[in-house]
Amino acid sequence: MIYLDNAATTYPKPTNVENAVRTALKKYGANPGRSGHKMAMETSEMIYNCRVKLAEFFGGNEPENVIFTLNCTHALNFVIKGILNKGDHIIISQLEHNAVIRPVHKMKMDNIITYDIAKVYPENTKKTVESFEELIKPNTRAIICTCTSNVFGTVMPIKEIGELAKGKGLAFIVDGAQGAGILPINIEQMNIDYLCMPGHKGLYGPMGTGAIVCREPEILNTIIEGGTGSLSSKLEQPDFYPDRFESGTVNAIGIIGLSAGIDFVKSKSVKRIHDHEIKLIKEIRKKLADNDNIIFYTGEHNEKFYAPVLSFNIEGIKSEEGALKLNDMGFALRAGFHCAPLAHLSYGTDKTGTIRVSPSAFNSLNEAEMFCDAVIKIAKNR
Amino acid sequence: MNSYVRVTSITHATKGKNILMANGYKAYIRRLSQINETGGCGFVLVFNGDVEKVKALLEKSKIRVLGSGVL
Repeated sequence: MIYLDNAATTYPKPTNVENAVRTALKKYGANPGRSGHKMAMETSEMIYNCRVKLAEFFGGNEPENVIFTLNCTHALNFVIKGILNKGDHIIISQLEHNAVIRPVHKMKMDNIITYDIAKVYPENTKKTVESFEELIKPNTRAIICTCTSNVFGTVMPIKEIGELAKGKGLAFIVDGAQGAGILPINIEQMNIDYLCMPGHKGLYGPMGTGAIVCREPEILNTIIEGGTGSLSSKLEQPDFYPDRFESGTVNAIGIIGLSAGIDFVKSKSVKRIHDHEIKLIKEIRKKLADNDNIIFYTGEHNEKFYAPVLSFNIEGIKSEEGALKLNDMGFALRAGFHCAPLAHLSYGTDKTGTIRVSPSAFNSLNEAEMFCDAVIKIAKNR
Repeated sequence: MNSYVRVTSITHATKGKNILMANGYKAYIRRLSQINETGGCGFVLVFNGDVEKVKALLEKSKIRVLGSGVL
């Protein structure tokens, strides 16, 4: 099988991640931050090391401002529900994933907040930032924006939106699901207050890992309370991070794997991985573009405006059907709506969905060519 | 004789230990449970040195010190 579904989760994982997880199962099997015995302390040290790596990787200042979650959706829910109070207004982009839309919409349906959706102008930073600015109200509390569309790869002008948020005194929350480890992100330079991310995509960690990297976190409301191993005779949830948001046992094995994933990305460099993946996407786009019955929805794949994700359809074939045919030919891709209904509405694919191809550091040019041959074969035999 | 400072969490304890070691202290983390005003179970940093100096060093790095003592 040739795996091209890396926007869902990267596969395969690097060998050092496999080894780290295997070692962790044997050597770091104790509950970190709870007991005081040797293995618990050593496991805690490994967890701490991963906090340090994440803080450094994303330009954060303190390791305690790195909060581990189970995935990016959990991270976003913690921040969205933690920061918003009754009467607040929030602005999201029209390319958001359901991980953002659903918690925000739920809070609206519960009459807690209101929200507006900013129109995105692909390849036009100025107009996109203006569309966010036009929606700011006196009660606007925050802007939430994805790094890049998980469907179309559209890169959002995060730095410029961050400047806008800072200038207007708004919190800036970024969904880094498709950006963390894939694009350069520096929370200080980009004025990101809360960067939410999965550990299992561009950072090459195991599934079941995610994180929030905060700049100077406020004391946010909690949605989960419980044991933290700290101040345990107090009935109130701790008011300090990461404990405030880390009730219950963390996924220590996964976090140790994530730590190795970060090492992998750093050893290759974000830029080299990105350039490699962009090269593959450009080749795929170029080869498929010679066929009239392949439909694209975005412009030429300029890396300034697009991440290494490409959506397309084969004329006359439903997206899910196309992906199934590709599966039968040995290619793993995701089709349909990718949990991003607003994005599909924006690009006019809300009735059809799309087939999405997303390579990783492990895909080769030869695999990209084989993939194109398969798509062309399906298109010709439809 | 070893002194200790009590901090809020294992994360702050690990951060504190690294800071102390970088500043020439011999330090280690120990679990300490005591039901008192500091809130029950937690972690302490054990070291050999001046408690007030260590407190100042830790607080400069945003580590909240909940108490101190002698082991």
